[in-house]
Amino acid sequence: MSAFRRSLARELAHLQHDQGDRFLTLWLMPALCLFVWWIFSAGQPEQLPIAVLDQDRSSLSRQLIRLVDAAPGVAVTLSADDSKAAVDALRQRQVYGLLILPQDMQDDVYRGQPAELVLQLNSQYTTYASTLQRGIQQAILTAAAAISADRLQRLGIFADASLNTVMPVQVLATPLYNEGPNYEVFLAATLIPALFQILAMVLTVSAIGRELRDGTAQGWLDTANGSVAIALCSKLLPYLTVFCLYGAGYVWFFQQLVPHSYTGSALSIWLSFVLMNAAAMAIGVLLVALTRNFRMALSLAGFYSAPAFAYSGQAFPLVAMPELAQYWASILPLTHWLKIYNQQWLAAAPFVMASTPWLILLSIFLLGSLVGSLLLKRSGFKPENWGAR
Amino acid sequence: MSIWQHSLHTWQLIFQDKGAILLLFVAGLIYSFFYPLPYHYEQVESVPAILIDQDQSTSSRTLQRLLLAAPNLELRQISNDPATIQSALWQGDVMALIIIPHGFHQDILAGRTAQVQVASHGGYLLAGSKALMNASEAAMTMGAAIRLHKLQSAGFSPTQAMDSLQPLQLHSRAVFNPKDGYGHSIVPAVMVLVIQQTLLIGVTLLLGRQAELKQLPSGWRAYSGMLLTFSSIGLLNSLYFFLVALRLQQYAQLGALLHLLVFCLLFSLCIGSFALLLGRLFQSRERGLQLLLVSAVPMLFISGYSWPAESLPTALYYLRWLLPSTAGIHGFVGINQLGANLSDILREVMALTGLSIALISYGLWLYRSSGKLKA
Repeated sequence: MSAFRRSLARELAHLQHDQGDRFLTLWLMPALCLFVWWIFSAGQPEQLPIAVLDQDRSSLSRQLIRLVDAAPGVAVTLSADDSKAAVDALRQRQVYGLLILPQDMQDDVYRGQPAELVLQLNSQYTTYASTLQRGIQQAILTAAAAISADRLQRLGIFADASLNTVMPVQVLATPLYNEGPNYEVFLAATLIPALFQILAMVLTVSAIGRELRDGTAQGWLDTANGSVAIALCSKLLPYLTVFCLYGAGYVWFFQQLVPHSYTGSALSIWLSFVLMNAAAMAIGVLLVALTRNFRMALSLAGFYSAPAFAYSGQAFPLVAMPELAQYWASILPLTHWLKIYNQQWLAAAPFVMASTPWLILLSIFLLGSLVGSLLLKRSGFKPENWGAR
Repeated sequence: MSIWQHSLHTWQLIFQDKGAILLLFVAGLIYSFFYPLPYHYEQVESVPAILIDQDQSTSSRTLQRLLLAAPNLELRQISNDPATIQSALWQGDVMALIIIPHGFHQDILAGRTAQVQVASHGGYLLAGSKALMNASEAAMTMGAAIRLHKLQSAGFSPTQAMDSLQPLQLHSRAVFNPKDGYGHSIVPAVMVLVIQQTLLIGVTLLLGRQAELKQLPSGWRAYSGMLLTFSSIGLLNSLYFFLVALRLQQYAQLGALLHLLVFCLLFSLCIGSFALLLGRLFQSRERGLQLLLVSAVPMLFISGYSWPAESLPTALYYLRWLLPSTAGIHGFVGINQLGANLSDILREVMALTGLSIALISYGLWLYRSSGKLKA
């Protein structure tokens, strides 16, 4: 048997024997992916509760309440009697918005006076607030347009058709890629790779760190005929294979789920996904080689990868971050992979147009594995560096 | 040993363990500054956009001026060349396209609704909605001016004309988080998770080591002593985050101190007992780190905070309360950011109390004897 195969067999034997590590390698990822998808499976926020304080109690106010209740994402669940009760309900998060229909609203409208409606939003809960704002604004605009058209007709103004045009200039929103604010795509599909990145580092650090902790590093190196390169490649191959397989599953799953959103090449996104995980694994090698301490390397891997999504620019754009945060973002493989995701998978940009993130990922991979293996070769196999907890 | 001695012994174990100190004390300090950093400016100040003016008319130029003046739009280019536009989009230089189509001016003159298209990159939801909002405001301003002009020329007085334009006016107000800051929304919730996760990982690290050495203490006295120590650490971290870190970074703190302290106490007890449960489950020092690092993100999203609880699958809507972080996030945000008192967050108080009772009962049973543990 060649050194590579011997060393590979050694790692596989460990996974066969260690239940916990097998769970981490094989089952944690699919379980997490399904779980994250399940969280967002509704796709869009729906039926978010609001209160209405109807001080007018007119046929117009009842009509408005029906319109608002029918607006997408909005559900009128509470009819408040006074504003104190309504604000309490807001603070207790029974409702996330409060629509106040003022006294004499109907009379004002019939007299040609503008009526002022107030919408109070719990903007601390941003997804609630923005969904409610959009839905309610649209419902009120629709009602206002109908009233306005009706009034002008009563005044006998038909001559110029433009006066009946309630919205002379209208904005049409056309999302370019990823239609509608579909959170299934926006969040689930980008959070899952963030979790993969964490796991790639955890698995790598664990596979190598374990040998240093248990003082079995020499045995590991010996099976690989003393070659650090062979030892590393054979050890990490099972994990990379798992990422290849689950990566393919991930790409296939979302492509099936929303085929019209993912217009780019599935092959290219899969390859880049594998490359991102390989880059994260290389950083893992580097961390464990630097610290020569399983626990410390895991802690650092956690610090590096766990908040990566916040820095990646997906939820909050990179251009709006302070410079320091942008620098940190640029050393995370996830940031660059998400660029590929947005440009090539969603927007179907040709490879040449978006090659920079590919090159950066490749550089992180090469640099991490090169420096990591050199460091490991220099000091990882000395007994005095083993056993640290 | 008495409860106090067990507690003291646990403190000693912690201070002999660099790994535990790092996770239980240092990590919180670092995260309290590191996590809020990307959101320092709170808002998406400017969304890079391209304007495509296919109409090239006086009307389109009027709209262009309005768009240039829009507060959160940064018109990078005004171009009509499809190749330039496509490549700018592909390279991610711009996040939105604003298209004024042919016939825009004609539509306005003829009294038809003239349409402007705003196309935003659906991958960047926050930037896209900002662009849309700004473009809509510009379009509404222009639309109002057009109608006002027409009504006035039909013989209405300016005030009459104004009034008939907008029979219903909707004023939106943010009751909490008045500046609508992104960081102000997300950071206080994540702080709760940081307190919980660092404690869980730190405790499993410490107890995992004791399990390896077959020195994991048992009996109700030992359990109570450890619970006292771990909950105290949770309390120290909570106090640091909500009394020091929040204030240093100018996050809102509206609630009454006493209510905050009581809730800190409850939350600490709950995460302390949760940590003890996990500490018994994981049989090696590093197992907790390996498994728990990936759990923070899903925990945030099932809490029903960033992603509305009403949109969670029904089972998760209820199961989410089994994690201390769910009640912790809503409770702390309630007190600090919404100015709630304990009766306003009764649901969260009940959830933490019920969960603590269940976790402690189970923990006492689990720790009743050393038992045979699997290696």
